[in-house]
Amino acid sequence: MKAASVVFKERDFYNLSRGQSLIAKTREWLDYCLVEEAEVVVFPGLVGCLYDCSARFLDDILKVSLLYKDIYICPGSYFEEQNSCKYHSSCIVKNGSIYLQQKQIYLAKWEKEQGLSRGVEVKSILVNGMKTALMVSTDLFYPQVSRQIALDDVDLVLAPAAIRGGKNVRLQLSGLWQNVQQNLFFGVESGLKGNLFNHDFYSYSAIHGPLEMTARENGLLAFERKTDKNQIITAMLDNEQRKEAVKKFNTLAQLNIDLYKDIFR
Amino acid sequence: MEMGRVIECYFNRKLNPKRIKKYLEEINPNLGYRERDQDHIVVSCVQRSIKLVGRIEEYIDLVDSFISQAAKRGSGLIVFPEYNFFDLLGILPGIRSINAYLNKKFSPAERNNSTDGSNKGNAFLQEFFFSVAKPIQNAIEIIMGGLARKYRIYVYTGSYLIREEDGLYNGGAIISPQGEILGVQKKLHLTDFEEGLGIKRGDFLNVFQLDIGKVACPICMDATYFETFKLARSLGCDLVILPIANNEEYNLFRALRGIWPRVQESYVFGLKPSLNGWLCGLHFTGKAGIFAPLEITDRKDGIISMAKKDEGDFMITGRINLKDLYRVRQNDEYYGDVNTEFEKNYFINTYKGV
Repeated sequence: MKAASVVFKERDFYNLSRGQSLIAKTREWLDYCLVEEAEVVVFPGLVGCLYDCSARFLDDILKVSLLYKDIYICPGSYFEEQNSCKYHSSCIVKNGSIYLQQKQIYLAKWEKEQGLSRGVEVKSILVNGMKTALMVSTDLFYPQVSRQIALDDVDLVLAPAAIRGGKNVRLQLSGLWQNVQQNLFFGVESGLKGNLFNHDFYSYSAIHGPLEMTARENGLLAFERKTDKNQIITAMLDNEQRKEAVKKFNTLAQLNIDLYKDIFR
Repeated sequence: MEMGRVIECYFNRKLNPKRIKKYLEEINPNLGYRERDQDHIVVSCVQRSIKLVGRIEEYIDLVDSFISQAAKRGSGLIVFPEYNFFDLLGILPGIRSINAYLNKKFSPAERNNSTDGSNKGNAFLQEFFFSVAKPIQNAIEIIMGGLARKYRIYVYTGSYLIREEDGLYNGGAIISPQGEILGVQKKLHLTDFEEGLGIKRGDFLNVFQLDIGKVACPICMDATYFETFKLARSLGCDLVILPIANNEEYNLFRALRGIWPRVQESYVFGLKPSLNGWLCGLHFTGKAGIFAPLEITDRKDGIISMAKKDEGDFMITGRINLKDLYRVRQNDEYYGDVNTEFEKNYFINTYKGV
């Protein structure tokens, strides 16, 4: 399966925050996905917060998805209200329908200040034969979320990211990259660059795989470069090749489960 | 008498405690200047190559050279690498010739022509290690205890094989400046190679309250699992010692799968002593280092100090400040949140099907 991650530039944020239509820009990105024959695409974290209302954002995304009916779209993340609680959430849509919705499980300090609530469960669906889960932004830094996903036999994690203070690439490395290496699923991450809620966010887009299956043994199947003019990055996710890589370094086979009983004492 | 008993008797004779103690008595330590700053602690991390020794005195000199150097730098703690006993195998007659032959056979130039699997001969190795484990453990504990007392420094011994009734473990001890063994930690997650050798894994993570902070000492592969460090934090740990001996060619990204991300997610200081070099055709590499959360390192890279090369002898020394650590735990964006509902049934929800 071919996966794409949207490369969100600082100038994209500048243009969008000064009136460019997010939906028009979304269509532009999806057109690139069509050209590249991507079957699944991830948009950046918090991109839905560029809309005033998340319900309207989702409605518009669902309408757009009808025009790209073969592509599974994770439209980035957004705030949503349910039962008078506000969550940081994301979803997977295709051809006018929502296939999966996921609330963020853990909160960053700035999210607590926003009065957000926490999700309590991780869900997954099949996307073209690959068991797929969503991991929303802050959860990238809480490895217990990744582990639960991995032990549910998930093959692919889609991660809309918005990392506060993320200009230091090492901070990003300590997020999804390392979770892929200790859990051995694929990870498609799209990062926001911009200022929202008076906070600066910066992270790169990258497609991660187990180190043993990547050409340079660096765990990266594709990644955004500063000088890159591409609007998306893509990579072929070969699940059989991933399983072969897992055989070479099967971390999950050596779990010492009895030891973990009091992990949250 | 069976071969195993013969080897054990031989090692007991060559690693005789009286002989070790006598040699230790002759060492006159230069204690150097020990920093008395309440906030900062100086710690030293050993990176060293395997050197087969013919006599126990050579091994004592080797260990002493590192401890005396650490003491001169004012360190309150020195940590040695995983499999810190390999050098002592040189005491076995003929081992140097076998070692030279195997190292040549498995060198990069020759490896492609080799048809041997690295796990061949495991039954022999298992019996051999079972035989030498006790004498080596006794010797290392006496040596490290004696030197800790002489230099008045906490010593993590590095790991060695621990023989118990039910089998062999890979573990190491933490020793007080008075020379007392404060406790032992066994490796909790094994490599395939260790499993092949019949080594067993530990089932408990200990935390040691030292006067420089709470310390845990998991070993090498244990850092591949976030659970190890999460447990250490749950037990109030501020400092994690993680000795390594990586039997593979060095690669930065492979190295990044270990202690560095664990330190970033769990907000502890991490000390990684490393063993390198060749032994019987096995090649060990790895850079020793001292790690901290990004925000409290000068270059915001999570590294306080690290060896420049992945082979050779280095002493890595750094200053750590627990108050800095407590401050970033309070302030950093992506640390410290708790989701009681998600965590309540985490164990059963996550590991039930494994």
